[in-house]
Amino acid sequence: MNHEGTDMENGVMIVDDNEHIRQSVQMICEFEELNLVCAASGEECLEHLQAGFRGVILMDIMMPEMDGWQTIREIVERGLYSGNLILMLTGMGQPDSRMDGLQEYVTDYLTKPFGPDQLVDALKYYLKLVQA
Amino acid sequence: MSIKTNKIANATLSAALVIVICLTITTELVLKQVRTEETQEAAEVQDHALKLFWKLYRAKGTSWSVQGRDLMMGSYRASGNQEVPDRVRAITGSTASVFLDDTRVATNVFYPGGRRALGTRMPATIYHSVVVKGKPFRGESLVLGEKFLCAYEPIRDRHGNVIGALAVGERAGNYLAAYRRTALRIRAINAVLTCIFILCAFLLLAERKRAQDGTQKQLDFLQVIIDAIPAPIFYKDAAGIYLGFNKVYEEYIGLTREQMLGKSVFDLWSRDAAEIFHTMDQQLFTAPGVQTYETSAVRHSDGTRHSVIMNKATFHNPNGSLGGLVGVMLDITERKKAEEETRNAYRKLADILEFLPDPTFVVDQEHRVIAWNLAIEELTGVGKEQILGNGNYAYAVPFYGVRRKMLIDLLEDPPEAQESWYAGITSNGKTLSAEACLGLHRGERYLWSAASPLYDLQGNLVGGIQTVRDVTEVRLAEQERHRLEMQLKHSNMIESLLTQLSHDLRTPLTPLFALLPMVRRHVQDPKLERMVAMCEDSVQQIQGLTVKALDLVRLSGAQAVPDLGPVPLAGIARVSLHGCAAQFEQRGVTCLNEIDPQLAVFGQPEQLALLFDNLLSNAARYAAEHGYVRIRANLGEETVTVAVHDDGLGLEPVHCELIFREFFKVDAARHDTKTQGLGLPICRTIVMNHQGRIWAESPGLNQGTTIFFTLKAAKA
Repeated sequence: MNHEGTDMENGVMIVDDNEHIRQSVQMICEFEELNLVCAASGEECLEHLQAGFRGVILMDIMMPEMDGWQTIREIVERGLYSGNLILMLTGMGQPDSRMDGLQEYVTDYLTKPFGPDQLVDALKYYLKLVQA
Repeated sequence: MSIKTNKIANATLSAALVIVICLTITTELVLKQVRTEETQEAAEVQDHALKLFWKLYRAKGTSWSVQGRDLMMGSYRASGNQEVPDRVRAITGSTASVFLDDTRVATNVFYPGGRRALGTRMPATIYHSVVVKGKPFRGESLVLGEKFLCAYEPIRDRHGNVIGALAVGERAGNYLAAYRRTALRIRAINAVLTCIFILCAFLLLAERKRAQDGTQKQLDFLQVIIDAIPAPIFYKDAAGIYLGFNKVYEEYIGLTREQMLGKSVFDLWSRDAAEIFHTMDQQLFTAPGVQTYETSAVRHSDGTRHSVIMNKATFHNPNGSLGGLVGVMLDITERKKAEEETRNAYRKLADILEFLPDPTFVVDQEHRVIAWNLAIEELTGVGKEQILGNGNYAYAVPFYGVRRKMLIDLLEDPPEAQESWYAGITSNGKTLSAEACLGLHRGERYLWSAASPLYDLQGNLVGGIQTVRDVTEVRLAEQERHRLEMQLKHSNMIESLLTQLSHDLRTPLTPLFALLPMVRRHVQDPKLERMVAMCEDSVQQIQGLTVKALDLVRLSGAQAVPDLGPVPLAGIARVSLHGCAAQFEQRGVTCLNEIDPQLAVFGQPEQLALLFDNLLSNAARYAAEHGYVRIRANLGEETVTVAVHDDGLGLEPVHCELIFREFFKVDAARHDTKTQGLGLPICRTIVMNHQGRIWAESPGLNQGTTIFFTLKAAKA
């Protein structure tokens, strides 16, 4: 678990099993001075949320053990969704069958690979939205 | 037995009767002779006594006369004088009487009390003969109630008038005693013999009656027996006259016994039937023995004509002469119907076999071909006239070129023997099946065969049937299907691989995509900046490849054929045009969307959007600088033909088809890192998914290119 900022509210959480992607997002967020929390798995994401994280969650779909959709289901079931927006990171650019009934909890999709500007624009936009 | 008994009885009775009659006649004749002799002897004795009687009176006088109431001989008064009669009796032992007229006047005949029978009268018949007519009398006469053999002679006076009579007599019993005893004995013997004969005759008659009763019982029993026989039976005499029947025959013909007895065939049957029966009867009588024939001329009591088998045989009288015939009718109407039905069924079966679509042949127990249908004639080129009746594996020649065993010949063989002829032979119950690839007159064919034994109703093996099915097309289709399945499997594997690769590439591309622009912004050295820019360009190319490759794989996959619906064509093109606007602007290319807004096609919107994206992106890239791109669509009868024309690079004729191949790039585009050579293949795949056609036309290099494609028209 990597707590990169002390502000557990209005932050950004990247949930991805790929370390390079987590670090890339982390570097861009540092440039843009955005608070970022990294989670290498769905379980870590849940732990951060239970610890009080609230903000924009960048959620990778394809992860070992608990994938993105299962993680969202757990978030909802454990009552941790409130105060968060979820952006799904997808390689296909297409939703799949596992998202049945969970789309309403996904605010937007961000297709891999994404450029820094695309990421920063999206994060800033949704951070404002989540703060509102 | 009865006949023999009757003969014996008749003969015995006749003999007995003859014997009795002969015996009676003989004995009567003998007795008559004895009696005659006895009577003659008595007559002689009487004559002697009578002569003595006359002599004794003549010694008293010369003539007879009646004086007063006395009879006189000369002077000797005969009346009341017993001297002479007593003298006659003393000498001859005979009774002697003297009659005056009819009255006994002197006699030695005594009443039982010892008084002389004087005054008794002469019998009237004797009186009439002797006194009235004057004739002597010899014969029997009753004297005092006792039978006497008498001799009377008239007494005449000197005038010759009969005035009385002299009579002598002997008790009949004295003279006929021997005769009577003999007669009694003989008659007694006769009576006994007659009784014996009568008894014998009675016994014989009783035996005859018993025999007749037995015969009748036998006849009754025989009638019961033949009545019990369920087949109509009749018998006739040698003249063809009906003598008898059983009940079934009566019921069968519908006539009573009384109506038929004594009749001929012409009385009972129709003319045609009678002619047949009469002719056949005559033949049988001419050559006695057994006769069997079939006829359909028999009229049943229900009025219908029946088919029967007539079984007739002659019989002979005890004397060996022809007695007549006995016949049994076996009704085969139902059997004939069944045979007809069987024939019809066989004919139908033969027709079915003949027109079976599967080549089929049938062999008998000796493996000779007995059926060879049209389909097998067509398959082998061998007509049934060439093969029917042939054995010795002749049917294998059209298939194998040589005489050899086929499936139909292996039905009784053990499995290992079957395997030696056909690899992969299988059996299902009694049916064998196998497949072989054979060179026939029509070329190499895959033939599947099945053979089964044929049994009769008793379960005896009577032959076999083999069906040959040309499965060449099926096998070739299976091979093609297998090839396609393998190809599909391969394609699926590639699709899966490409999909996974495309997806997995995105993950490592993400840090590059995200960080390279950041790096470039913070690099101060122009060389390093160019290096980073090159890296960014390569990453863009990899990204483009992954996207296009994924698109292509997705469009080519099994799920790619879309559900088609009406799509407004101009709108789709407009959206794509908007997406490519930056590319057009960058090169100063004008794009003219000249599609009629009313036009619609059957399509899948996402795929059609991708189609226009790729075509317009391509056109924007290869149109002349500051040139134009024009999109047009023509509505045909059922299709809409869309043309995307640019005025740029153009194509050599040989490239018009090649550009739709994956990763093909014309020379001018070969080093363009922004293209992947997958845009037009994607377009071709989309059009094919819509059952359309796509092609390229170009007058030549630098003369522009037009890409055409067709889609099914729909109402907007």
